[in-house]
Amino acid sequence: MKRKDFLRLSGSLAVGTVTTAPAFLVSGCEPVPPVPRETVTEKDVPLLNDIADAILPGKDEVPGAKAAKTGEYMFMMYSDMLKEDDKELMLNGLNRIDADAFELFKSDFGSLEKEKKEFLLKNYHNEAFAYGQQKAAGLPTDDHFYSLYRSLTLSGYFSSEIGSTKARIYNPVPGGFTGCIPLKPGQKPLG
Amino acid sequence: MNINGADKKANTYDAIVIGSGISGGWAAKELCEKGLKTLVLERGRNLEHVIDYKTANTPIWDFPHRNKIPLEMRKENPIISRCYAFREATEDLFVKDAVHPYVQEKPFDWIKGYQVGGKSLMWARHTQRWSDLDFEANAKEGIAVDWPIRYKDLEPWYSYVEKFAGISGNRDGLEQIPDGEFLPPMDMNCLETHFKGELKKKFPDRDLVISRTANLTEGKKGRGPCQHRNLCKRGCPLGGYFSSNSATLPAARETGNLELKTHAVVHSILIDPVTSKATGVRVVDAITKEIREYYAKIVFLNAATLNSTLVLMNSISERYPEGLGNDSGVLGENLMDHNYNARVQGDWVGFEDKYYEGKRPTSTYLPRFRNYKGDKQKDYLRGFAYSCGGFRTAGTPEQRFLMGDALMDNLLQVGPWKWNMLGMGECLPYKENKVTLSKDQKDAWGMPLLQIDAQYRENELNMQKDMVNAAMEMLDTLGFKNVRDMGERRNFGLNIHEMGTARMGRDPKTSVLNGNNQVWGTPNLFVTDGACMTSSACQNPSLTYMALTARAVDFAVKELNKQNL
Repeated sequence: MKRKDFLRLSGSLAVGTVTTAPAFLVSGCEPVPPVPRETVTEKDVPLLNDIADAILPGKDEVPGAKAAKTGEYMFMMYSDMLKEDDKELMLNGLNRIDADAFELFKSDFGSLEKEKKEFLLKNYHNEAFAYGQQKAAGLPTDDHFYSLYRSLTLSGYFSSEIGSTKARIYNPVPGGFTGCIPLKPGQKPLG
Repeated sequence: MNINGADKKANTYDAIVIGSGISGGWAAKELCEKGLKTLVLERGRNLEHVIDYKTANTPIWDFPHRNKIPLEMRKENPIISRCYAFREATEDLFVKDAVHPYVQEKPFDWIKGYQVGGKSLMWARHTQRWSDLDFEANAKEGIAVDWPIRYKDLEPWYSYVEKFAGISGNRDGLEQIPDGEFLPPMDMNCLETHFKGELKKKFPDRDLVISRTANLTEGKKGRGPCQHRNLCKRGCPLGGYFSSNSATLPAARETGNLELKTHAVVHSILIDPVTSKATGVRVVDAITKEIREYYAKIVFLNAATLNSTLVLMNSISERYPEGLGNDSGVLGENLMDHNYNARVQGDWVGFEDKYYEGKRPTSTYLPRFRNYKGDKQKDYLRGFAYSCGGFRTAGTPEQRFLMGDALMDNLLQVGPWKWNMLGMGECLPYKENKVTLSKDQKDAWGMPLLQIDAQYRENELNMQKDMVNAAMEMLDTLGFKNVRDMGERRNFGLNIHEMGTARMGRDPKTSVLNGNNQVWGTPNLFVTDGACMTSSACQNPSLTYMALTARAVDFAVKELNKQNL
């Protein structure tokens, strides 16, 4: 899918948002269009952290994906774990996010306010969902970078110290196993 | 080789045990406790109980790759990377693919553990007994050869090893998996208890039990109790499960009769040309490649199925030109594994207000019901069991629509119940499923490469269809939703229950070992690991190896004392 198509799609899904986008524009110094990167580097960790945090933000006493350094995890996965096609997907996704942030908001993604970050991510989410529907219908469909980011965010967050201890019941030495107990209201899942 | 008399004396023991894994550890313990000076030869490195379990307490976030195997290592090790237990926490317990190559005539995943304790460190610890349903099957159906023993021969030895090893389980009164000497069983969860009751109502020939498991629900001398961390495969610093390292080797050491040599790759077994008895073993030092010989009155070969057969095949003498104990020509034939290519899942609506606590290091078990009692299948022999379990997910299925705050909210909730069933099917012994030695390729220790040529055949594939269908039928009937075939596919070997190739039998013309695990023609050489198996049943085999080993040692020492060996 081309970027222009995405903008149309995002416009149709988030009615009116694109037409109001110019209101977000900041006047002042002339913003510089982003240069597409050729590889993902450690410098992208803050951006990956921001993406992860938009996907899985903190809630009350539970810190979110950025606090759990999920961006570092994603970069480790890029460096040591992902196969070439997924590495390319991660790279292209970052370039796309930079380009979209600039085109819509004349800004880099990291400097955007929370709702603008969410606006962009939500559209990628919808796009990826549409890809998934297409794929389920048996149509030839590319993988979407958002699906990769989402899955890395979840696996990274829930294997982090914060995710394991704050978002789950953390009990490294349970002692025993009790098969059937009442689930207390609001109880978190076992880690 | 030029060994002077003093060296020979220094290298002479009452007994030699080749291998320190689950059966070698038992041979060592039993021989030492019966007063024999015993040398245990282990081809891998030493691995001390507790102190060498380097990752036993490492939380997932402290692993550089969060306990996953990096791409580079996966590329270099496609075989072991297919094993569920090969993780960052356990990677140094698995033999890397390049270290010990073999020839795959057909896809075969050979998973090996070269260290003191062998694979007893990473095993899955399910320990159901076999019954006469299994021991009589070959004879009744005219398959392969008859087992030379029956359940009554092994029953006291099952009890003997269970009492020492520590097997948790419930006395369920089922003939196909006889009750044993159990420690208290682990709990079933609410869905499992419900499943058990409904299953019996809708399918009266079927039962769900808690798997008999070698985890200590009560402490034993210096071991356990199990703390339900479910990190067993990393080695347990609490000794909460049975391994050679935690249980049999310490018991052997305590007698003062044990000597353990590591980095000792057994090249061959030495034979007296006059008596054709085993006199000792020839060993290649894994590091220096130096060759040494050790001598003993009796030898126990427990190198794990395929390596035991490799040693026999490589022990060429005038007496045994085709491999030690191979007068019959069947050495290397009848390689079996189990067939686990049947995984079915379903969703359960209900018990939303019920949960569980702790990490149970085992599952429930649905024992064999096919070709048993009233059941008769048209297109296959034998049967299968299932490893089963109910569990609750984190988050609900709606999470895939969500992002941001709503996603976090969802994932902080305890999700619905799911049910998982993994079929575990018996494989028949076939002459055509075999191993041979390469004529031209050798490994780093100068041993010929093993050529493995084995596959699932019609009986296994017909049974596999039924393993999937029967699971789906049960889940549908019991009211599960979204019942699905997960398409489990594993190569032959990957269930790590490779067995056979030096089978026990009643006739030296058609088997390698007799009913006491003695090699036909060389009665002071015993093979009591998986190589000795005449059929595979569908139960996990290690408990049976333990019982066979303890029984064979008892016999060996009695014979030795009668000067019959």
